[in-house]
Amino acid sequence: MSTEQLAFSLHGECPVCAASVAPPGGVEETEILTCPDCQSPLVVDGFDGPRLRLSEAPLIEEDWGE
Amino acid sequence: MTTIALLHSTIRAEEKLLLEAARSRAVELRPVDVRTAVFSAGFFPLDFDIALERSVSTVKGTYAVAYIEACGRPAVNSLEVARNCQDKFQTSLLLERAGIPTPRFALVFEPEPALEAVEALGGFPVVLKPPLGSWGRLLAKVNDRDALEALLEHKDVLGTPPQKAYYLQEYVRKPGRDIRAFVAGGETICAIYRESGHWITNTARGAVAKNCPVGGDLRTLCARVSGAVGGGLLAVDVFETASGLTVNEVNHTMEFRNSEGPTGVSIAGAVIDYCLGRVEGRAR
Repeated sequence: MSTEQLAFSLHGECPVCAASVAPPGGVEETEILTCPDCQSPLVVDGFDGPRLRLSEAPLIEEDWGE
Repeated sequence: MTTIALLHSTIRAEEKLLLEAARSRAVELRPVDVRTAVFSAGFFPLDFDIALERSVSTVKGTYAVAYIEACGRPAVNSLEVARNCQDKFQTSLLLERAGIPTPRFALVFEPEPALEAVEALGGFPVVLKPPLGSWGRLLAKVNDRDALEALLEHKDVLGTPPQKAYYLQEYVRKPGRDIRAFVAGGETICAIYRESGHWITNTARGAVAKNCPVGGDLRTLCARVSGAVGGGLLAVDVFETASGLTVNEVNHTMEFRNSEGPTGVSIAGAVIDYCLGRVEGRAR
């Protein structure tokens, strides 16, 4: 789901520190964001309207790369 | 309208650039999260013209491509290219067989043969790499026998089975940079210098990307590399040495977020165009 049209109001809550997370541009499901307060890497699990469902991003695994 | 299945795990900056490039070409780039897919008859819809494999997990991406090709659909990169590039030992073997300049290398499983291999590679320092790995992770420049023995003991005790295959490579002195060339169907579309004061020059490790003009030597070398690994979309890492260009590694799901700016080339656009060319039978 592309969310550029909703970008102005997208927001979520950091599951680590409870800070408000409001990315400035459009985001995609499964995209990695960084919490502006605690710097935790977060992943976009989905959307409830303009509300982002966020969880802690997966850690880098042995086979990750290019 | 052509439909491309975007096989992904986490969406990175590259995948967002690809989505944008597809939109501007009126191509449907349909995200498919390989982590939640079921690769079995009747579960996985094959309602696309070609699959573009962009999974950050090499294992998951490779299985996804294996399934899609077995179902008779094309994938970029192909299973052949993925297998040839994801394992550094396999890549080195293919480059060597094709007569393409590449650093000397060896694969061993035990410390004693490792010492023999170092001698064959010209002595210390050597570079120890995991055969399957990326982003400069777990690379070691090994300067002497003590360090080699310590590293191998740690890997032996703490490592997973793949980490116990020791890929050793001749250490090549670089002029503070290497070259990454982006190749589509054998054609070099652009290249960057990756500059760093560190011996590891991955941009993931802080190297700075600058435009590298693509000369005839680089173009010819990359065309040969493409032929050796099976074509497709590649990022070819090249060292500049006193005796000419030599190929270090070949990447088959390249990242390019830091390369479009310096080169002025839409690599995402070139990737989509290459997929369209494959669908239309124009590209290799």
